This record gives sequence, C-alpha cells and structure tokens, in this order.
Amino acid sequence: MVTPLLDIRDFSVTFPSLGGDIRAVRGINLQLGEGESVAVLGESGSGKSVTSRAILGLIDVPPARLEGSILFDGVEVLGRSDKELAAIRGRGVSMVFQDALDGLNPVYTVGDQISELLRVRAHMSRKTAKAEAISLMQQVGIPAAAQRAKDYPHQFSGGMRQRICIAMAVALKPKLLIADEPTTALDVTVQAEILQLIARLQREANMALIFVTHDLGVAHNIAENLMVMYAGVVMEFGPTNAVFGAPAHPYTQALMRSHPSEATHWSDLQPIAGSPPDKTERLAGCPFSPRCPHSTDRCTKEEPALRRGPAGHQVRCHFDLDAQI
Amino acid sequence: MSNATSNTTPSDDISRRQNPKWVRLRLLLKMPLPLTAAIILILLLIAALFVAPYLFEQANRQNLRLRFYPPFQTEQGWLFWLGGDALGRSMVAELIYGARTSFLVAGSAVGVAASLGFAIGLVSGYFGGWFDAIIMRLADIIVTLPSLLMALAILFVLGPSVFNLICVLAVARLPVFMRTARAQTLSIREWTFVEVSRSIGASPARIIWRDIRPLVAPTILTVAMLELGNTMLAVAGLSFLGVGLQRPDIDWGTMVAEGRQYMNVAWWITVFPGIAILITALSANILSNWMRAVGDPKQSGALVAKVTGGGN
Repeated sequence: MVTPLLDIRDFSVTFPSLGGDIRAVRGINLQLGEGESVAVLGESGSGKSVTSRAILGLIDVPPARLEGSILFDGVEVLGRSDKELAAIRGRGVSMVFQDALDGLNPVYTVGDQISELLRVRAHMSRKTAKAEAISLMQQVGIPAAAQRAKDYPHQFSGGMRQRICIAMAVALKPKLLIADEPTTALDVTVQAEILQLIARLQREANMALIFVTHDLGVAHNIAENLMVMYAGVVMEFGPTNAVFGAPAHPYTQALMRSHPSEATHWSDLQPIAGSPPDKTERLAGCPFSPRCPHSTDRCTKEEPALRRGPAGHQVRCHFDLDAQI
Repeated sequence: MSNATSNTTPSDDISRRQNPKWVRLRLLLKMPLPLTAAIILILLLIAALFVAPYLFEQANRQNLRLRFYPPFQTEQGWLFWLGGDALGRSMVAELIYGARTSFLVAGSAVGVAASLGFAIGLVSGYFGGWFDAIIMRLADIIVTLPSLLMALAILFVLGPSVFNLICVLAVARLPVFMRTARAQTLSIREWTFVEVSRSIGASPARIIWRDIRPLVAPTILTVAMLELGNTMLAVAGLSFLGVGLQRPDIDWGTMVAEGRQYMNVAWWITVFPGIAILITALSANILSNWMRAVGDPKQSGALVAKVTGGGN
C-alpha cells in the first residue's frame, strides 16, 4: 500500500484550564492521498479548526497537550519546533484562514507581501518574484493585478483580500491546502466565487484539500469525502455522496433537517435542541446522546465506536438507523 | 476625464494620493499647534547642531565688567541681548551651547533606551517564557528604585561625566520602552496575519522584524518624544543637584542651578534657561501627542476630516 500524503492517527488535543482539562479533539483518524479532498463539517467548538492548525504545528505546546501522531509525507509533525516545521509549512502544507480581513499585514503592499514570500522561500530574485506575484494575483482572479499589487490591504474588499491570502497559500505549490472556513467572514455573494477558486486551484495543481466548514451546502460541493465532527470526535465519515445520500448518524440527520435550502420553508426547519456538551466533563456515553432523539440507556453509558454503518461508510452510533431526513 | 490622464488607473491614483507619509505632512502643515512645536524643535536642533560649536568660546569667556548685565539692551551686541551672568558671560551663547548639551545628553539617553527597550520588548513579548519573566522582573526593579536617587548614587560613585550621565539616564528610562514594546507585541502576535506568516514558514526572527516591528514602531516613537522632554528635565535636575555636567560643559539645568543664588539681583540668569526647558518639553509633548493621534487609524480619520473639511 502506498503511504498516504497525510496520516493522522489517534490524534487528541487537550487544553488545561481552571475548570478542568478541555478535550478539544479526541482520537481522530484520517488518511488523505495526493489530490484527494475531504470536507470537515461541524459546529463551532467541534475541534475542526484545532485539528487543521495542528497539521501545521500552529498549536502552542504547552499549554496544549497533543497525543497520537500526524505524519505528513511520512514525517512526524507533532513535537517539532518552528524551525523544523518551516520546511513543511508553505511548501508541503499551507492554510487559508477564516479571518480574511486580518490575514494581511496592513503596513506592506500586497505585491510586497507575496513577493517577499517568494524571495525568501523560493529564492527568487526581486524581479522574478515581483512578476510571479503579479501572475499569482491574476491566477486568483484579481483584475488589473499589476496595478493592484502596489495597493495596501485596506484598499481591497474582503473577498479580494481572501483571494490574496489564497494566492500566498498556493505560492509555493503545496501538496496539501487546508482551508479553515475561508468564506465565513465574507458576503454570501462572494462565497461561491471563493469556493470555485479553491476548487479550480485544487484541480489544476492536484493538491490535496482539507476544507473545514460548518455549512452543509458548501461541504456537499467542495470535496469528495466528508467527515462530520461533534464535540471533538468523528461522528460519520465517508464519500460525500454516500453520507448525504444516506446519513447514518442521528447528528448528521439532524444537521440536514436544520439546513435551509431552496425547497424548504423556514417553518419546516428543525433546529437541534440543546447545545454541544461542555468539553471539560468526561461523558460516559455518546457525546450526542443528550440531544439525540433516539437516545437510550445504552447511549448514555457506553460510547459507541466508529464502525461500518448500514450504508457502507463509517458511523459512530450503536444502532442501524434509517435515513430519516 | 481628459485623454492626458487616461494611462493612470483610478486605483493607481488613489494609492499615490493616500501615501501615508504625504498625508501626514499635509496634515501637520494645517494644524498650527503641532506645527509650531515641530518648528521650535527643529530650530533648537539646528541651533544645537550647527550654531553651538561656534559659541563654545563665547559661552565661557568671562567679562567682569558685564556681570549681571541686564537683558534687552543692545549696546553690547546680540550676544548680550539676554544679559550676562554672574561672571559676565553671554547668556545667549550659554543658552545655545546649553541646548547642544541638553539635546546631546537627553537625545542619546532616550535613543539608547528606546532602541534597546524596543528590541528587548519585541523579543520577550514574542517568545515569552523564562527570558520574558526575567526581563520583566528586572524592569520592575528598575522602576521601583527612585530614578533620581539611583542616578545620584551612581554618578556620585562613578563621577559626573557626559558618558556616565547618558548611561544612567538610559538605564532609568529603559523599562518604559521595554514594557510598551512588549505589551504591543503581545497583542499583535495574536493577529491573523502573524499566524498566516507562521503557516507559510516564516521564521520567528522574520515575523518579529517584518510583521510586528513596523506596527510597534509608531508607539515607541511617540513614547520617545514624551520621554525626551522628561529626560531633559531629569538632566536639568541632576545638573542642578551638582552631579550632572561640570564647566566648561553647560546645560540649561546647570544654568538654573548657578543662577538661583542671584535670583534677587539678576532674575534672568535663572528664568531664561528655565523657559528654554519649559518650551522644549512642552513642544516635545505636543508633537508626541499629535503623532499618537495620527498614528491611530481611528483618530487620524477624524483629524483628516477636520482639516479637509469633511469630505474626500
């Protein structure tokens, strides 16, 4: 078997706090080959951003405690210093952040920021880097790129700034791009354009993609695999079409009932009652059991394992539930 | 508009018009108070740098016939427009030469303290940990000691000289800059663009130098201007107490100290250098206040609106 590009095994993150340890991520497994894509879907606080940051070594240890292993290209990422990680960052893995408005340094022109990256990391001459920066800006769809390169970040709209962040993320031709809710801070009208841009860049460069989102519709369209997270654990994992076609976990089903689409009237939407569990307490059973309509005694006592469900993909539930959307 | 300007795009035009350097200069030209302060400081600086070297002799030449020569008399030439001191030396020459020493000592002390404190604050703020802890406790110790007393003690032991004076004052002012730089660094390092830089593999040194330093620099500059006034007063205080500068070096503080015993016969010996200190400190404060307002994006917007009359 070929070693996957990214191999996350039994990965956990714990943050100590006064109220007890916060277990942000518990025992995640994920293998991703070159050019493959996965959407990570979950509510805020489900551990999806923490996982994606950990792949780049962006979580400070201490205070956080990391367990398990994250192999990128066969190299362990966890426990490495900034210096050792510099080779992987940008070149191997890079990231597009949620906060597009603050993603660029306000005191430099965007052209300077992109070309500095190219000069330092790709050892380009000043002139080549400048030309390459402009061509990158064209690739991410910035009109009049040569002139706009001389502008400062505050002279760009949010969508344009996110495009420039994407240009910087793909500048060193990484093998894996992590997009952490890249459209959350943007207008709805701009979101689709950014998604198309990321999809196009992924296809053209054959990058692997991890797309973190809380939006079902986005998750459906962007990636071939879907991972549903809740309270730091994986609830359901499989090919996107399989999961959407036959959601096997009550949480996924509930998410779909709460998601607005063109067909549904707002009065038909069903919010999920309750709120995600406090992650300082150790729940004995399934983390979703307090909010689950199918919850039984067994659910509150015994945590289900991730297993092959009725529709063929992985699901963390004791029961073989029919898809009831 | 016309065909002549068709090769410049709107965005090009905007970026040139909004180049912050020129906007700031235009803003300064339209505000009388900070403009006056800036002009006074520049004139004093020119006097200290270029005029003072030619006046060293005059500032120390004694002429006992001109003892307590009153000010605002024109018979003895422009050197005695502001009168003569207890030994008949020209007040004008002494004031200008004193400006040189005051600026030299205060400027060097603030310069050393600002650059050192800036660097230490950036590093300890970015990395944190034991280095940060030790540095900040040292800063606490320096702050807790009364700086005048510390300076008095050290200068008494080492002997008063310009170099020792600069060193002592620089150490005493160091914590202000360290703490300011550190506090700013702590908040800026949490911004997304710092994480973006980390995520594309920038080294900590590069992040500190390229990402954080330019955003902390305006604050440090503002604090430095404030401290310039304070340090001048401190130099004056130390000279007044007799551990500052010694003849033939003179500064405004020494002049005030020397003149105080003749207050009842010749007020001008004390009053003129006192006014000089006051004006300089005041100008530095006004200018630093203005620089802070302009450096803050929210306040500078209001300033621009006020000066340009709303629109644009």
